[in-house]
Amino acid sequence: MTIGYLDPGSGSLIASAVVGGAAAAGVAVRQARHRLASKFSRKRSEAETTPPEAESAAEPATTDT
Amino acid sequence: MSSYEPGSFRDPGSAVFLAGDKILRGLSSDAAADYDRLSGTSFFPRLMASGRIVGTTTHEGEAPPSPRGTPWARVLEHERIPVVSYPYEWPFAMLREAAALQLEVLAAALDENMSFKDGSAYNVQFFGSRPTFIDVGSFEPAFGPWPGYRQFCQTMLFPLMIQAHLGVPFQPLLRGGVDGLNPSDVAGMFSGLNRLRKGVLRNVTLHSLLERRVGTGSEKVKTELEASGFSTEVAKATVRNLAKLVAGLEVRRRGSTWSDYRDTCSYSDGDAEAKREFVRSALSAGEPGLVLDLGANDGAYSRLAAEQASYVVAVDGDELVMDGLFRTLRSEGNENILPLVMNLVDPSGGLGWRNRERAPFFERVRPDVVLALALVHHVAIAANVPLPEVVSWLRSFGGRVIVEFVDVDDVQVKRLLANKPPGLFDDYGRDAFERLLAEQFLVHEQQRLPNGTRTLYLAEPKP
Repeated sequence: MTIGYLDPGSGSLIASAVVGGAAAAGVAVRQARHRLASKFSRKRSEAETTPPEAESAAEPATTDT
Repeated sequence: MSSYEPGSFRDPGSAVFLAGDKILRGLSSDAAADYDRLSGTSFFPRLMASGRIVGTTTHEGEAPPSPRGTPWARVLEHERIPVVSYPYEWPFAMLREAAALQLEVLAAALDENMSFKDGSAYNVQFFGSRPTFIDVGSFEPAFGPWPGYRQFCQTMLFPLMIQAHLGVPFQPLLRGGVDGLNPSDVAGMFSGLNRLRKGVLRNVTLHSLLERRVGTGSEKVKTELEASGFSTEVAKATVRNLAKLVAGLEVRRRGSTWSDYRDTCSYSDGDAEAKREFVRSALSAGEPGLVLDLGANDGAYSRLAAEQASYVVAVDGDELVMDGLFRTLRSEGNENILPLVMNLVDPSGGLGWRNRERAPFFERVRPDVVLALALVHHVAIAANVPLPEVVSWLRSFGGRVIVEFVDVDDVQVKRLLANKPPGLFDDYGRDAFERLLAEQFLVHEQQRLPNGTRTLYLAEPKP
């Protein structure tokens, strides 16, 4: 099998799934949740003046899919 | 000896060559495996037989060189497209037909677990008014979403939506860049209530938003989509919905400068009949293999030429008129008149990588006969092109020309001159034109039309 030569674009892949009316819209939701979660954890870290090491320790939880 | 087609370098798995009069395609070993799989499907021979996919066979002769140095594992031979044209030369309905065809072929492929690697408008060419899918190297086993969706949007769907929903012709925009229109630029064009028009929210607004916000690499997104239950069924639904959207896109038409030319032009019935007779007889003077009809309008003379020529390219700058001609030809099933939109004093130039990926129009068409009827006065007066330049331009095609010259005292020329300061075109006249023509051509026949202000010439380039 040939690997596609074209970068299809991450956003375009999800958009095409949405055009297909897919439950794959769930991916978009999950992506948004990750972003919110990482923002939220950053804000909390800043508020609690958490040292940068602790902030990076929180990273794996936000990137888990 | 073969020459590499500069438009086919993007896919490392496949490239197109011109070898004599043959069109060859080299395939890498991976691409050859995909081709074997394609050959085993039922849709491939079926769509080839119906002309929706370009005729393709395995080539047993010498393999062309590979631009990346790896020898080809397989070589295919394709049916030749009489004249290659590009989406920025197509009227609205022609691009819509091309888009519908691309989706139809993809839907048939998905039914047998095959898909496309890409989705560009350049994957489609025309035999007259019949579109055909030419990128046989694009088929691959289906896996996840269609990777060509973005390209399809950029080069087909967005241009159609812009013209259908906003009334803006897409041709100059597509000519502006070989990759078409990106989602965020198009999102900027759809503001306010226009966002609610058919297909805009998902394909434009959401698409552009996701493109900006999703930072994850596309390979990872593919895996995520798979985990969320993305299957070929979803890809099929995407294609079905796109096909429905494309079929429903239509332009709201008002009249244009040339849309009722045939009813309002200044020809009497006698002039029109004499002109038709001259053109018919001039065409039969030699083998008119390929005829280029410059300023074709409703295609009346293209049709006359098509009675004798093997192929006719009808070019006119008026999109509305060419759109109408395309629709008529398509409904008739015509396959030997290719209607294209182009301003003849600003023709398509080279586009893409090194300006060679898409060749200039006049390099793609080498006619045996050029029709330039009721054209010279427009080029010389409306566009200010000096008469010697006009004649050199006609000579540059290399074929015979059937040309009409309209005198200064003709009503149409007077109309054009009324928009210009007096004295600017004192050198425009029949004597000057005939002298210039005789310098570069042998004039075999000439005839003044009964109205006395129009003259037709059949001229052959001097060796």
